[in-house]
Amino acid sequence: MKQIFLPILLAGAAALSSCVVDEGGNRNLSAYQLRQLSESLVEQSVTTSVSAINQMARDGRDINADGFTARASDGILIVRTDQDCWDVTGQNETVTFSLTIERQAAADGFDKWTCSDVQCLHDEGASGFARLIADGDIIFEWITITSATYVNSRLEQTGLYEVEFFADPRAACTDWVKLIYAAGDLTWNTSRGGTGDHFYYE
Amino acid sequence: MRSFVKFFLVLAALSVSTFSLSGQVRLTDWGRQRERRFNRQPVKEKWDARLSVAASPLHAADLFITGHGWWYGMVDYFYSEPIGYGQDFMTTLYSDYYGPTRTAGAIGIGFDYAVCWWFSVSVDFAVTSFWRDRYKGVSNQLAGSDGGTAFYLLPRAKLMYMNRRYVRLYGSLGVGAALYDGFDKLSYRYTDSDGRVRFEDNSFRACGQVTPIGVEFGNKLFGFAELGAGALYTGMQAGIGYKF
Repeated sequence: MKQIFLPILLAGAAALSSCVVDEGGNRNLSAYQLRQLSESLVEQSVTTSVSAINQMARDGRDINADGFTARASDGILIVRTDQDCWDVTGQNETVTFSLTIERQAAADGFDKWTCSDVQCLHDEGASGFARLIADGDIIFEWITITSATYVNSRLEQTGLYEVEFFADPRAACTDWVKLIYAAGDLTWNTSRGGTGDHFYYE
Repeated sequence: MRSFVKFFLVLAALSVSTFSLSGQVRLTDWGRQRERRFNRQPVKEKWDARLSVAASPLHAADLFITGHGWWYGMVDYFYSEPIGYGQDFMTTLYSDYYGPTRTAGAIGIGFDYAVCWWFSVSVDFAVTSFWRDRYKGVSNQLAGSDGGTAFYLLPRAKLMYMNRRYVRLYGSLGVGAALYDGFDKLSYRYTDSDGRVRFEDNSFRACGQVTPIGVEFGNKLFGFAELGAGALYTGMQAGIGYKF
């Protein structure tokens, strides 16, 4: 009988030890997801706007002409307000945003762009909203990397963003994310932890 | 004289006892050899019926590990799929989530038919249930629970590596089908260009089971344990059976 019951005991132990087939857990609400979504708000508002006006300047368009108004892709409207100064508003399926852009022209064509009064909103009505603001100015400068075989120039940003997530539109902020860009390098932290300074998988 | 008679009697007694002991040893050896020969013979019964309990079914992992299949379970441990930057990312971010998905393992009944001493065909029926709790994304409060049940039909070919009266070693290979009803019966796949959501129907699917090694102990009433991987279980299955 011992020979029969031993396998049964082993099977019972095995069944108990393996009764969880999936650990579950909240895979959506994490520091990683919050940071990803915050970055996307920055990308869809500020980065896209600066890229659009910078491209117009490099294409030789007279962006300082009186009454200059231009529509860029992704629903961005650029309106000149002063010499080297533009108001930008935008709306697409995901976000509504506004900011002011100021240019410091450079002789070599590598202009410096300063964004202020940045606001971006993603609204889902009763399901909540996410709001991005910039804490101070966001400055875009050209970073040039030179090696023996190539020269690479990129327009990179420096500045601090704060993103707030409201799961209930009538309640207090549910989560927040701080994004700190320094010449394109990102450091960040969130209300769900997960401080980091590089792209990582959670 | 008396002492001589005493000595003779003692010697006689020793001789008789020694003869008797050696006779006994010879008889025991002969019995053991006969027993060993007997035990080496394969079992004569053609049929057996088995009751089994199996560890976690692979079918479960295939269904419930974010719908990616068990091989992505390994990847999923290190990687979270980013939420798309679509119109409803807040809804997704704060949606309900699930606690651990649990199962009691598969409970099954099987029948074997020995075609010859080294080969059998068998068929297994098994059932297993799964359950998990659902929590609110924001408050982490319990929001409900879900359950599901899967049925398996698995014909198997069984190869006996060693077939003795009291110990048998074997391996098997099976291909069959699994029928499932419960949560995640339909799993989201993608939304097409017309905005229609496409689901994968998990209610019926083919399944397989590989068992490289298994062992049976006992004669007519026997216990068994086997190691393998597949739809029915990944890890170990064990139980009891009866040959007839």
